[in-house]
Amino acid sequence: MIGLVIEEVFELQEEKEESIHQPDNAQDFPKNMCIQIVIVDDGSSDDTNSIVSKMLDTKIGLHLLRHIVNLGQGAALATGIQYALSNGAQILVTFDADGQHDPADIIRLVAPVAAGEVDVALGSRFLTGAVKIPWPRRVLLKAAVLFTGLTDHIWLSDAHNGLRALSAGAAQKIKITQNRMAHASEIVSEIARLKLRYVEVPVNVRYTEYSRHKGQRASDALNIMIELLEDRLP
Amino acid sequence: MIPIQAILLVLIFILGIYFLRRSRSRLAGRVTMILFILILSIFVLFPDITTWIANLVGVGRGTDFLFYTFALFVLYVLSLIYVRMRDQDRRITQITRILAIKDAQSSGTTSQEIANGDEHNHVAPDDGD
Repeated sequence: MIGLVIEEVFELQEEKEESIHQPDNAQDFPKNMCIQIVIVDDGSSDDTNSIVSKMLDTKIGLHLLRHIVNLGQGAALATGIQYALSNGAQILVTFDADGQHDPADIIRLVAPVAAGEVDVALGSRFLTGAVKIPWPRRVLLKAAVLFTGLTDHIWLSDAHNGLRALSAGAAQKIKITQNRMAHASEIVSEIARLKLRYVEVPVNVRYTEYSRHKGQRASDALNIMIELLEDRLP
Repeated sequence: MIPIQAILLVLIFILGIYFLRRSRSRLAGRVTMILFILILSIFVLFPDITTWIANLVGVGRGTDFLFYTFALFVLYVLSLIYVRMRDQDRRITQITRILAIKDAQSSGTTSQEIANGDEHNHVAPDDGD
């Protein structure tokens, strides 16, 4: 069984090189599973490209894809998914390369998908109990939860978490047309439309200076709404 | 003929010729363009016609009628441009995606895979860079 972790990078900083790495609990994964990482460089400057290129020499099971122009996170994910599927991935994991996710969580997301219990496992930062989430972010994330609940009738505890595991079948069916930020909502809509079986899995999210700088801002919520509305136009 | 009429007629004529020469559209598009130029010219030469149409649809002045029509026209053109841009965005996405997948670089296979002798994993060939 082949699992592929897809990460999108854009304008990576040298010191954050370690934000891309293989899960260090690889030995805990099912024995017959081989884990590989697909990195999609979304048209960032040559610096980022050379940082990641260097990693190709030192790490094994790494794939580097490069968008020649910047398209956005959604487009990068779709590219990575298409590549992973054509390389025979059976389980796909999406992972934000801004240092906010914990690679150790991957195994818990993969488990229910590998067992065939669900088609999609969604990470949730609100299920872990005591989490330190800055309150403006908490409000924003809960607004996203309300939004997807109302539009797609799927009530999640965390609708905008970038860490998910998908079965190959689910990944094939889900169409990501939102190139930019609205893809997170789009994936939930697709889960509803395709009536996929899903589960939420508690994951840790680290709010560092770097991930906050790279992450979404409150003003992005409005942009996401506009992107979603645009998509409903003929 | 008052001066503004002469100025407008000359501008309409120049712009009309410009669009007709530049446009690569089919006959229907050109005919529409010529009709459009003709109607505009008639409005310029006989402004009372616009007032007559305005009264027909319940608008006071011909100028107001033209203003409303113009606003709708601009919205229509904007929507055309929007659709075009979106199609173009999709095409750029497709091209970028195909190039990215074609030129994918990979660092070979994992140790686990070698240990398991997994044959399923086919890695896209490195394009020599």
